[in-house]
Parts: sequence; structure tokens; C-alpha cells
Amino acid sequence: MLKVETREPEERFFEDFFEGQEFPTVTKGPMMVGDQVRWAGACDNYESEFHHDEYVAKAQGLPGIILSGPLMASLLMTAVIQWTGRHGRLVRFFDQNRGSTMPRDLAYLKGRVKRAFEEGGKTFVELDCSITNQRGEVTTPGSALVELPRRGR
Amino acid sequence: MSAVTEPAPISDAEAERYLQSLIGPIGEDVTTLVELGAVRRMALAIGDLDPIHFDEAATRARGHRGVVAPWPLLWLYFFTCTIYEHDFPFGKATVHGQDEYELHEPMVVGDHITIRTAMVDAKLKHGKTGRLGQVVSERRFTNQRGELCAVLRTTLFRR
Repeated sequence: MLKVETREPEERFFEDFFEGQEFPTVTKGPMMVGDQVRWAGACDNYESEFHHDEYVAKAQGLPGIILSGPLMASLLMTAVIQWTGRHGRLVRFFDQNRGSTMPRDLAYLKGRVKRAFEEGGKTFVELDCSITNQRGEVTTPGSALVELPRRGR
Repeated sequence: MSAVTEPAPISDAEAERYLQSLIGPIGEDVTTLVELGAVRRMALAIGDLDPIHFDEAATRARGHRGVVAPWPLLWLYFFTCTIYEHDFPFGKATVHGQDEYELHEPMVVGDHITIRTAMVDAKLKHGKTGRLGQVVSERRFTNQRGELCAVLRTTLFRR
């Protein structure tokens, strides 16, 4: 198997985050049917034909192929993990499938620190995150809680 | 997750009774192995190139027990180990509304993960678009050491 060119997330600590901090937007796409097919392969799930067959999607009254909500949420979750760095421990993640992502759509992954706090001797960063498409529609609002160590501990 | 067939109309009371009947365990517990190939496929599908998903040495250096599964691998087990579709006797389509993840002990390659599924909430609502069924299923993922790895709560809407 070919070696994958890996990339370690940056080293970040609790002190590196503050309320209102915005993370660099991650742009994904244009999203393609291939992204959906790869996701279906990773999930070993091909049952929802409307996710990869336009004929079926339109026959079901959809405007076309719709990419999977959990796929889009997983991209957002991965962005959260990247933003918070290699020492972060994702504790909680939430997402809503509010709008559809269709082939050739762009996905702008955004995140903002809502709160940085200490509780029970542990330090956490709470984030609001979302995916917005090229029309400015928020398709996937979400939130996350990440535990982070203090620097030097 | 979607279906287009519309069953014969039923009353709100019947719809509520059906929804309430869903509450409780769904199917048997299922145990599955976390495989290296599956971890790699998922990491590549979501573009998570952290070496802890690919390289044993990198994982040990970061203090993990083995090659770490990216959390979206929960969806592989969701689709292959659990019952996730329901024959609603009302409405036209089922929509996957939202997901809530509680994340605990990382799953690593070689772990045996047991998944327990239950319907934890089901209710009938009336919204702008008419009758709406809302069901919340919960999947608990536990490793062979008895450690809780994750809880995934999925909300489906039936319109």
C-alpha cells in the first residue's frame, strides 16, 4: 500500500484560545459525487441510492444528488480537531443537517471560540462551528467541546 | 435516509402509539473488530491526515494504545452493525436531522467494539409543514476493556 503523506496537527494549548477567536476558514470542494462515493465506501453503505444516483434522486423528488449529512459533519469535525491541535481531546460534537450539499457546491468550514473555561481541574474550549455554501447558506451548524492541556503540563 | 412511499393515513393517536412502541432496545448488541484498512479508508475519505490514523510509531509517540480510528468511523459501525431504518406508518419521507456525539476512550486498531442501540425518545409534533415525527436513537460503543468509547445520538424526522 502506498504511504500516505501525513500531516500532524499543530501543537496548541489552552492558553492559545480566547473567547471570540475565529479560526481560519477551511474550504472544501467543489464537492463531487466521488467524495460521496468514497464516504459510502468508508461506511460500507450504498443503500441510499439518492446519494450517488441522480436519476433515483430526481425520481424521489430531490433536486439532484445530495451528499450525506454525516459526511459533511465529519469534515467539520475534522476541521475542529485541526484547529484545536494535536493535544486537543474532542469531548462533544453536535451538528444539524439544515441544508443540502450538492455536487459542485463549495463548503466553507468556519469555527469560533464561544468559551474557554476551567472545570473540575480541567481546561476546555467550547466552539461554534458551521458549514456555509457558496450561496451563503448555512447547511451544517454545529458546536464542539474540546479538552486542552495548559502549556507546560 | 429517505423513503417516498406514503402509507394509508392514520390518526395522530395511532401515530403517537407507533412512535411510543419504538422506545427501547433495537436489535441485539453487536461486536466488531476495528480494522486497519477501515481506519485508513475513513481517514482518507474525510481528509484527516494526522499520522495517528496511519502509523503505529506516531500513535505510540502521542501516547495512544495503537493506530487511532478517526471518530467518523462510528458511521461504519452505525451502518453495518445497527438497525437504522424504520417503517413509519405515516409521512412521506425520513430526514436525518442531527447528531450528537459524546466522545471518550479512543478506538484503536485491534479493539473489539460492542455497539448497543436503543430508541431513547420519540414524539409527534405539528409544525408549519404539518405532522412531524421525531425519533432519537442512541448507540453506545464500548471496547473489550469495558471502556465507553462513544455515544452517538441520532435524530430522524418523519414528515
